[in-house]
Amino acid sequence: MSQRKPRGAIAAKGAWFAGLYLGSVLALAAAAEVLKLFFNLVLK
Amino acid sequence: MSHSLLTITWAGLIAFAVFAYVAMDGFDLGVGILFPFLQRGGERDTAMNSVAPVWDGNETWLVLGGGGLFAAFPLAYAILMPAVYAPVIAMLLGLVFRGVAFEYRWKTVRAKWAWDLAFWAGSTIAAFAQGVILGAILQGVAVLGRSYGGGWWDWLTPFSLLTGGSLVVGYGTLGASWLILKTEGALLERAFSLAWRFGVAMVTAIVAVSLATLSLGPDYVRRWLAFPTVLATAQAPLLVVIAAAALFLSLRRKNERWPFRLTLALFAVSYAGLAVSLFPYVVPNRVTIWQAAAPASSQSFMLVGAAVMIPVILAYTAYAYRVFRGKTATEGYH
Repeated sequence: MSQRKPRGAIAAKGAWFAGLYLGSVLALAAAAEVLKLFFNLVLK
Repeated sequence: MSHSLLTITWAGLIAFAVFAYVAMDGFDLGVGILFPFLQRGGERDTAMNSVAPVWDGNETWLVLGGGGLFAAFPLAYAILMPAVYAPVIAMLLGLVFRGVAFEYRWKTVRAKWAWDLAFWAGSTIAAFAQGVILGAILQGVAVLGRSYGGGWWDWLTPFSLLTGGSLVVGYGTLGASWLILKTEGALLERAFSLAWRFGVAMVTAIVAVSLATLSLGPDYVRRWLAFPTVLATAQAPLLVVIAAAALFLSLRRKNERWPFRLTLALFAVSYAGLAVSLFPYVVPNRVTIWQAAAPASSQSFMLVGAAVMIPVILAYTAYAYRVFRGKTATEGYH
């Protein structure tokens, strides 16, 4: 029989994934700045 | 209900109908697109049987989407339709050919190859034409007063050809993941292999179309990349990465249920991206949904009919999928 994980471990894992998701959004937003510069140059 | 709210409601209903069409007819067109990769005889029979009970019901949503646009947004219909007459005609002819193939290929042995060809070509042309229509609208349509101001061939550009090809590989992935859900044995193994190859092509196509859309003009760059809206729009590529990773993981683990759901998720995120690119315009940067809207009295009258009919369509569709659930046998439907 598998042991049930403690609530704290589940919460920590959830927080880790949420942090990873938000971090990825911020990283993509930063990359978008570069992309915006590129397209603004190309489309001028 | 105010005219503005009615217009938003109708835009939502049409958006829902078009997505329902893409999700449902997408996989049965995809099965047709995959036909050349399946063995003649048994594998093709099973593949066709897996979509035979539902393919024509799936096309109901196209009628609702097209008819709804005509009735609720007549100005948009009047401007957009002449801009894409050629691909619309190609799409309808493609749908006719594959529809006929469903009935005739079971009645012949000698000419079965011809109906296999009709099924593949009809499915591929219909899918390609739908992608071309999407590209032709996204790249912008010439407007003169309250009508279309461009020529017969304006739709034909590298961008619209890219969106056409992209939808073919997208539907191919949906078709392969549908076959994973519905088949067994050698065909199931082939479907896993096809889903992987078409899946790679689909993800590549999503990236290519996304970048090509940004290159269409500064309005798209602003909509997608300006701060702070980028914090919301950046979630689309992130969700594509998550769904694609989960799709390939589920394919590697030979899961038979998740590839179809995850391919649908990729379509849903791409569709949401389309909304980001277009809303509130229905003719990009020229006509908004409010400018194109029919009078409030017409929209209210039609909403009563839609409120009755859409639940009925949803109910019989759910019933059909429930009755024909599970794996498909070779003899099956026909």
